[in-house]
Amino acid sequence: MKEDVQVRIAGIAGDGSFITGEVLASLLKKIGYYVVTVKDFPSNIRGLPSNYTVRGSSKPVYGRNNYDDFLIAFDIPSIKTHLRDLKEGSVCIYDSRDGKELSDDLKKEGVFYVPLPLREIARKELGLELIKNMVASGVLSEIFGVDEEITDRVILENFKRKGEKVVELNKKAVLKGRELVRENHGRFPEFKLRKYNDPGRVLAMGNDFVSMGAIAGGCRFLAAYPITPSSEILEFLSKEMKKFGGAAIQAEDEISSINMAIGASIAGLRAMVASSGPGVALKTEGLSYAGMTETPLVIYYAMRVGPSTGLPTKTSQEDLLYIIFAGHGEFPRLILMPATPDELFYLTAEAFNFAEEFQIPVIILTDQFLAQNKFTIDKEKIDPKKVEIRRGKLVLNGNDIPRNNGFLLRYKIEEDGISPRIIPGIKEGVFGTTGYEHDEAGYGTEDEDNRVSMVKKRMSKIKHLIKRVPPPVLYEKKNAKIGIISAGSTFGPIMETMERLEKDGISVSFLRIVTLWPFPEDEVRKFVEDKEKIFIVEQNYKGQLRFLVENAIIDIHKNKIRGITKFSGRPFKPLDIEEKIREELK
Amino acid sequence: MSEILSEVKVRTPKDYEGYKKPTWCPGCGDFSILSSLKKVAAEIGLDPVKTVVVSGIGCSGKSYAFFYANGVHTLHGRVLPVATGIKLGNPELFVIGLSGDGDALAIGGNHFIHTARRNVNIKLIIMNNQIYGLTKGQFSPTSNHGFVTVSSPYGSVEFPVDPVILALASGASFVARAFSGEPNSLTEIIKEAFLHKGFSVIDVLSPCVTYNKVNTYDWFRENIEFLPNGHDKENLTEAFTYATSFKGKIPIGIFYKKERPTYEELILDSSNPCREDLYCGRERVYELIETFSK
Repeated sequence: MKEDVQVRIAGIAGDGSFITGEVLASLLKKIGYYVVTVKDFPSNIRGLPSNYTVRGSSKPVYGRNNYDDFLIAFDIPSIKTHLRDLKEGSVCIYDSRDGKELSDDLKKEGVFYVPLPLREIARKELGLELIKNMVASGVLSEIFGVDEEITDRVILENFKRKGEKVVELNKKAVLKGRELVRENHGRFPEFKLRKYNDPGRVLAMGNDFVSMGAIAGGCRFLAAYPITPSSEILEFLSKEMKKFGGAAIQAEDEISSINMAIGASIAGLRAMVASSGPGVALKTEGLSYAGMTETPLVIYYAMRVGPSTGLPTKTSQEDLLYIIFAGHGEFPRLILMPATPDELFYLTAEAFNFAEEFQIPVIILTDQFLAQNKFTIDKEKIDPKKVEIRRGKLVLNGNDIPRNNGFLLRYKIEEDGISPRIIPGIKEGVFGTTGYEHDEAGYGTEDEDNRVSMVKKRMSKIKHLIKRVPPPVLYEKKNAKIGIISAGSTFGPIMETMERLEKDGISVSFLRIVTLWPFPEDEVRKFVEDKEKIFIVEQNYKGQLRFLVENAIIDIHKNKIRGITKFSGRPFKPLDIEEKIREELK
Repeated sequence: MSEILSEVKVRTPKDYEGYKKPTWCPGCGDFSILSSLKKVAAEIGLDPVKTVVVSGIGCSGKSYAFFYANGVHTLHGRVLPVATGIKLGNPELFVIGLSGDGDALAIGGNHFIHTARRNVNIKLIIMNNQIYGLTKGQFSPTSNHGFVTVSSPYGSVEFPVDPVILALASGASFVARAFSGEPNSLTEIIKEAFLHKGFSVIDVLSPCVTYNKVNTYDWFRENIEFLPNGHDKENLTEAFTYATSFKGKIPIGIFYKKERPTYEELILDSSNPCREDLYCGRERVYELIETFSK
């Protein structure tokens, strides 16, 4: 009975790897496994290599494992591509369409190779070659010992939109796959999965958790321009926002989208934009404007590989320093980096509170891996009722605040740097706002003393903000001399690395940054001081998180720091981290 | 209109005086636009509390400070997206956009096209002086071909964009042109634009007395011609005909006016997001969570 299984389905885009992966993910969830998916698809619609990895585990998992237990290859080149992720005991099921022997360079010792005429069966017996992927799903279902009743249910849920005929055809294809295994018993290794009761866990992609968090957090306006890997937010909220009186807009460009959101926020709504690097680059003038006008705004930023267009569908953490410093001039901002489904949900909801309470832009920084892959979570771990809505110093009657020349003091100087927030249409009074340096009433002035007090007013928010933001999460092992620091999606593989090292008696503690900015200098310094060696795990070349850590600690600790970076566009595997640490400890 | 005709105490143009006195050059065409704006506001009883003036960058951008209403001074070219956001955020607000020719048609050209085709209920006044004044005299997208400026020393090789033709082509539901030097017709046109429901564009020829020595008040008086009274404003073809060729002169007047559903009506189904309870989405999130946990 296996408690952890990883399957990769590979072919060219259009082969149906994606659907097979989705169906498999649902199946695993239904037999009570925690699931994580890793989509690796090209920036192309059809014809280029693509693959989809599904991992199921009896324990919560947030990343892929080191090796695949199964590779379903719809073409021979896919075997070559993914050979390095197969190990002794792995199974490679491939479409034997040309009947040729596999060449030696595709054969790895200890791997079971099972050629199956997937295409041929699909074409001859089901009348549709395309459905070979569901034959493959049947093969896996039978090997894993999943009940037919469960596969039928998953197929119904996945295909009912397409009509009864499609559902029946898919069921038939799955059955064909099952028969293949039964008839060829002995060619397949024993790989029955343990069956748990499905507690009805949530299985959704990161962007879905963010969208749900936004709704729960009272977001009533989204403006976005389609861009990978954040488009699903626009798609999700376009469908949902209308249902509770809000609007989700597909703007004409990225610049328009941030300015629309700023307008909606000025009008009093909780507003958000969703984008990625190339889009955020265009949004920076708006970011800076939100900073000067102190307009609450939530920016969802899913990083992808750059520079420029880079690898649009691949993951990275290359924009940490960029988003900390993006925008001209100086102004406070908050950057949150969720790592788990519940954080994606709650931190998004909470971002709107921070944005309104401090009247600043708040950035939810994720990456393609978190944004577009699916994760399971126990339902009770995301509870919309636990989401508070705090609107800060929102003024509803103009008579409550002083005026100048008849205009309300929207930018009144207060000790905590946070002025009364006025929206148009409130009882009594009007106000002004501008991207120019302005006086308390919101009208441009170049007066030197005013400039100094306004800068101090805005920047003084930071010291109050620091006390309120989510602190780093510490995963501590007793007497650990080694520490890991990371932020965001590297969480899963790091946790697994720690477990594996622990088994060999190597204790490692882990400090996970949740608030990237303002950078949690005190916590980081304390963590580093306690350790003999620190590994900073991040998905970029330069070591951007390392830069921030080194900036926060005292010089004498710098020689403890080692970077573990990956910038191939693919997420870390535990082994990537483990090997580097072991090497360093030799 | 009923929502903006509330019980305001203000009724005379003087009551709409802003936070500051205008800082434009003496003789600037923008003064006339501002005073027409105030006159119209007084006539229709515009409620300043429910009005937002959104301006961009340049001489026109400063207008937000010269009019008594909520004022949002945005970035260069971004008047329309910000105004759209405001209108969608609270459709009960009366939103006036004040842009220059560079603001509306160069850096904001894309937004201009898309706001027009969406028909957001925003009143856009383009203070068109055919030059960049605040940055000291570079050519603008409405400058004439051959126009000599500091950035076109050999004469502009570009041909001007016509805001009226562009607005018509982009689907604006109200399109007009006025001239600062003709305050009566300017006021009438602004009033009609304000009473129109939908995206209203008024291209106002507004001479820059400091940097544009060609398109002066006198030059305009010789080169403009009013559209005939009997012109069928709902006829788009006729509007194009007048806009593209009219006795060899610059036509002034309302070219086109035809109501159709506004963007905010279509997007919001007549609800007002600002009035919604922020907790109201919670129950729906439970339902969504259920759909993901099947």
